[in-house]
Amino acid sequence: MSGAGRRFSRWPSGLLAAAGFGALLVFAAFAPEFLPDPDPSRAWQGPGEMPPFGADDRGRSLWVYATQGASILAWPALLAGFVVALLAVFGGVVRATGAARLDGWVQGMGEVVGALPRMVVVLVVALIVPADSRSLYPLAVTWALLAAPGAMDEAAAVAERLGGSRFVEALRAHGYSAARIFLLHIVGYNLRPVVVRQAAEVSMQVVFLELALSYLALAGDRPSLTHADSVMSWAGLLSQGYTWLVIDMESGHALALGLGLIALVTGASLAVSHAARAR
Amino acid sequence: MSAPLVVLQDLTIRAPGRLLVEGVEVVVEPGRVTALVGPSGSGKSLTARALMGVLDVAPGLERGSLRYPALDPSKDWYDGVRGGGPRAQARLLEATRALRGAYLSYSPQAASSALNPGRTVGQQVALAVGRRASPPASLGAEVTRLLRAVGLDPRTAAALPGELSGGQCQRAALAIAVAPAPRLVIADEPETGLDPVLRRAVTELLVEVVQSHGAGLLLISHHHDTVSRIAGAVVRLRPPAGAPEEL
Repeated sequence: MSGAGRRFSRWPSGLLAAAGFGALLVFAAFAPEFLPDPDPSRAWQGPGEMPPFGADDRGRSLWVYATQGASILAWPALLAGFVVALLAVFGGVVRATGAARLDGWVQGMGEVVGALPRMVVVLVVALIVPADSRSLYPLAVTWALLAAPGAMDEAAAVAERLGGSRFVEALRAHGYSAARIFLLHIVGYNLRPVVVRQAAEVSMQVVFLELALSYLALAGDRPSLTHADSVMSWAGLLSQGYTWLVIDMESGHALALGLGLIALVTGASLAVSHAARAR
Repeated sequence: MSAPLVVLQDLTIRAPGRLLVEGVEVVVEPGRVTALVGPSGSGKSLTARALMGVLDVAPGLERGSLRYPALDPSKDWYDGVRGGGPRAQARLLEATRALRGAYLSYSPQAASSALNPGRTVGQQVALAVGRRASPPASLGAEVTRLLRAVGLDPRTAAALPGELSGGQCQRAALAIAVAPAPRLVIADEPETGLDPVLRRAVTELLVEVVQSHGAGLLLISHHHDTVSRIAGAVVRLRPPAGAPEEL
């Protein structure tokens, strides 16, 4: 690929990622605080009769599901990505500095944390959080901390491939300051693809975690572990849409919207990783 | 006669329990090749780093003086550093930072592991050109000129170091070393990892490119044939008493 081709290959995926995450945040910003009143006469109306996405089994707009669902998970997912990115950068920089004792301690902690069963720990945290403070934030941060050792390991491996102190030494001999060497040359130019990909993956995992927990709660007719009962998760779309598959209810549009939103998050996450890899 | 580019006198550096180098004297004149030779463990790379103001051993600098007479004949850069330990050495590192990559530049040993694997060769050369006091009219044209000067195809600018051979990496490192138009180039064993034919080509290219820029060259090498062929002055290092001498 030519140099010009490489330079511009970042833009389509970068724009796609920005559009995806932008849409998620816009949805979250427009989320109403409460569900609208039911209107049984409009039950299962399609997008043509009730724009933009149609209605649910009680005649409530699916737009509310999309926006409230986004408000539940957008910021916790981004926070989880940020936590993982920060810890991955830490792991990479520690390896690049050649601080053997700290690196050993970080690796040891990583092995202990990495060995914990992630889903079990998340469920324990979910049950510890008082019912009236239910939120995705503690679960997202827990998930991020449990996912961090893998990200730190990968970032450290990249830093090691740089040649460790020899690479730093060469840059220092060129007159670059320590801040510029570590922040720009090591983190910015070399760790960036790994850090961004890991952060995007963990953000996406938090979205799936919320969907899974909320779907289980809906299926078991129990209160959600991730949000108050006054708001609807995207899992509600999947739960309603599922009836179209099994008993031929007219809820196909709900399933399409739920899957479309999942595709939006997945696409945005993949696009972020691709944009970070491009030069 | 123009002033020497660097004068290093009585360099003595200590690590815990042993001397690393003792009483080393190096003078590099402009337009001249000075070779720094010695067996492994004699402190060649350490001396080169000390000459750039990069000291990173504790307790570190015990004796010595460092002057860049072409810049300021009276200033001893080691003033306040001798016996000062890591903190004083960190101050020296910061004080000499503006000189590195501008007044003097460094072509590292094993260039393939010292180049930034995440940046294209062109980006790295451009970054080094950016350290000149006066930037060129066209950065792209200057990068192309430098790559041609070291015998690389200008299309190499779009390649990452991992996509190049060892010889090409060494040439790219050379282009980066001369890109800031320094007055002194320090080349640390530029022949490492190269076959005899390529070794000769790279060192001759090094001398040619450095001298065409009117700079002085401090060549660190343990190849006697290279040194005897191109060096105008030779500084021989021996491991200090008590230090293990490797074969």
